[in-house]
Amino acid sequence: MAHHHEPVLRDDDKRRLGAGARSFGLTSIVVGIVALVAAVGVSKMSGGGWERFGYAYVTNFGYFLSITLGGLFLVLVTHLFRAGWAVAVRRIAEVIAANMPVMAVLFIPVLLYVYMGDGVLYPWAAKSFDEPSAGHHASVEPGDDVQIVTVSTESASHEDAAVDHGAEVVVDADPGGDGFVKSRIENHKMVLQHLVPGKRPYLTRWFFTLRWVIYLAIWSGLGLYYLKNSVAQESGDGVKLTRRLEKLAAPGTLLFALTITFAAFDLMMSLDPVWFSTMWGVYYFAGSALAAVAVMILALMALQRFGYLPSVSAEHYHDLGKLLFMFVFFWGYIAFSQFMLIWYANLPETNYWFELRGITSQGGNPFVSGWTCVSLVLLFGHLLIPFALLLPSWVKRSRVLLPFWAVWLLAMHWVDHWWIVMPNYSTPSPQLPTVELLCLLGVGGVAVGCAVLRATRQGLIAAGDPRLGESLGHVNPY
Amino acid sequence: MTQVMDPPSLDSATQSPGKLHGVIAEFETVNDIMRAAKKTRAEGFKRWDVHSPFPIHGIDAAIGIRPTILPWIVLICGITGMLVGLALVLGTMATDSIDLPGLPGAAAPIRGYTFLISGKPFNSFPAFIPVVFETTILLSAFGAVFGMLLLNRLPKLANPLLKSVNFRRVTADRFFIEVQALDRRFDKDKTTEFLKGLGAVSVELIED
Repeated sequence: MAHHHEPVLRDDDKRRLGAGARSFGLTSIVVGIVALVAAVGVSKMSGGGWERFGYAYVTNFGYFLSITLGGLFLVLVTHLFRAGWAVAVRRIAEVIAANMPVMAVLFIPVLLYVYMGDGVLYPWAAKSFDEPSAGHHASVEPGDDVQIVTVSTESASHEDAAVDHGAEVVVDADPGGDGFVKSRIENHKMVLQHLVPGKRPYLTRWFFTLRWVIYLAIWSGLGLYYLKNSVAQESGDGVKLTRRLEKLAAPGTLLFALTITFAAFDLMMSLDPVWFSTMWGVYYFAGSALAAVAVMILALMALQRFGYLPSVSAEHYHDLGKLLFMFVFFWGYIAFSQFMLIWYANLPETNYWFELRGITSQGGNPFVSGWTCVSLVLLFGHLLIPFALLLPSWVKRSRVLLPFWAVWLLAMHWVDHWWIVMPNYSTPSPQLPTVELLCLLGVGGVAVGCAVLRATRQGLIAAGDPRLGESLGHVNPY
Repeated sequence: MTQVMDPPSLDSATQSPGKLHGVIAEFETVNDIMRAAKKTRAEGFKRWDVHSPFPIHGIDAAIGIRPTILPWIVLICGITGMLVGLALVLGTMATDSIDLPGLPGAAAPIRGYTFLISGKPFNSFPAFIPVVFETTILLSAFGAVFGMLLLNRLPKLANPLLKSVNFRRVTADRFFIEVQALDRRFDKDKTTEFLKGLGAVSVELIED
């Protein structure tokens, strides 16, 4: 046993996806495009128009972009740490990461909204944005003599904070009612508009476009480069290429961290140009990595169901399950930290974001809106329940429970994005997410279909990686 | 080749004949020790171990090492830490007054520090979570470290096996099976014969 031989690949491990996968991919793309058209139709019919479709599209673009970025992160980080165990399953992450050019194409509608939407999606993109008193995004200069009338009886802190900003909030006295929350938030935003001009140099159309060109170029470049070289190992010098990819992983991770942070600011934080959170980037990253691990687990399970990758064992699922568990907790840690800092500081320019999502005791009732329920679903469904039930090691090795939690967490990750984006459109309660789910099918159909087509172009396992034997023989001691 | 050596071979003058600790059997190769370990396990011994210069792939399964109970110790410590943390923050920060009439000496009601912090209620749970989290982690870590030491009976300043000269090669090129006298199936003569039968290079009785 000391001289045990490293296991070798079986023939089925090297099998490529066939015609069935290709037709699945093409069907998926067609379904996706049809669903996107249907989403526009439903949005128009339900009175949401292009505005609701835009928010729904950003929700789902952000969702699938996060999975693609999570795949890139897993590729980079497994190279950075020379993770031997991951080699047998890494090709899946490489294919996900190499799907980034498709996400670049799917980004075009967002750009169209920026250039042609006149602020319907991103208020800062409106032509009238810089003009004072334009619609409900009116700006109030600090020191302006704003009429001070306060009917709020619930919170001393809000009044104090508002006085600090040289303006008071006019609210109609309807504590507990939906109108109360909504008008309160609108007034808050109006008073806080003076914070926006400082962001003006950053939130401009050309700079937004330039940044996204840079992000997508870096991500696509890294994703394609890693997949290309991983495939090249099968016919070339595997050790040399592994060294090269490992060397690139260090600056690659730095670039990844910077770009994902600013991309998250741009894509979802700037939907509301008043609000800001310095933890936003890492919050988006935490969900991304979680979702990518979940997708890897499901993709591997699905492939094995069709007889591919027989050498991927419970040991690999155990490790992916550990990562899944870790990112559940990491997401909770970051989400709570972001909430607690904002809640503790209690500054009106940031805390209204949570008020908008029903996390408030304004009006005396902690359950002020429909979004309150969604927030609680996230607390329990995205953190507490999966944390407790993913804890035992046998769950991570189970072929029934691990995919169940992967599906569960992907659903929760979607709810998270829905909860981030849609309150900008519908407050104080969510609408039935018809357009949003059609967009999920739409963006998802195109993104998943293209990823499957990409997966048919090479083998499903990194057969040329010099650490493959180590990965196939990998055993978890505990 | 097989020989039974009498215990203390080294500085026997200072040694008084002590309690029997157990018996060790020496093997030359990994394959020998793996085969012997499987047979020893099959024989039904419970208090025995394999000593080796390096980790042997698959030896845990051959010995039949059961999962440790350490996670349960850590869980209990973690829950204790959580309750302690909750009691601490709620008792000091969120307690207006608690009457404990039954408690001798507690004439006045217990009062917490009713600090008004940025207009929040005294019982502001989000602010308490970091404290509760930290005490949970602290006691869990204590449970893990001290539980591990306790389960391994550490610190142990001396091990009777170190008295054996033959056993010194366990750090270089030999493999040993140790069967402790505490085992219910242990019998000085029968166990020695059994180990000899496994193909040991040497079998040695160890006294405490």
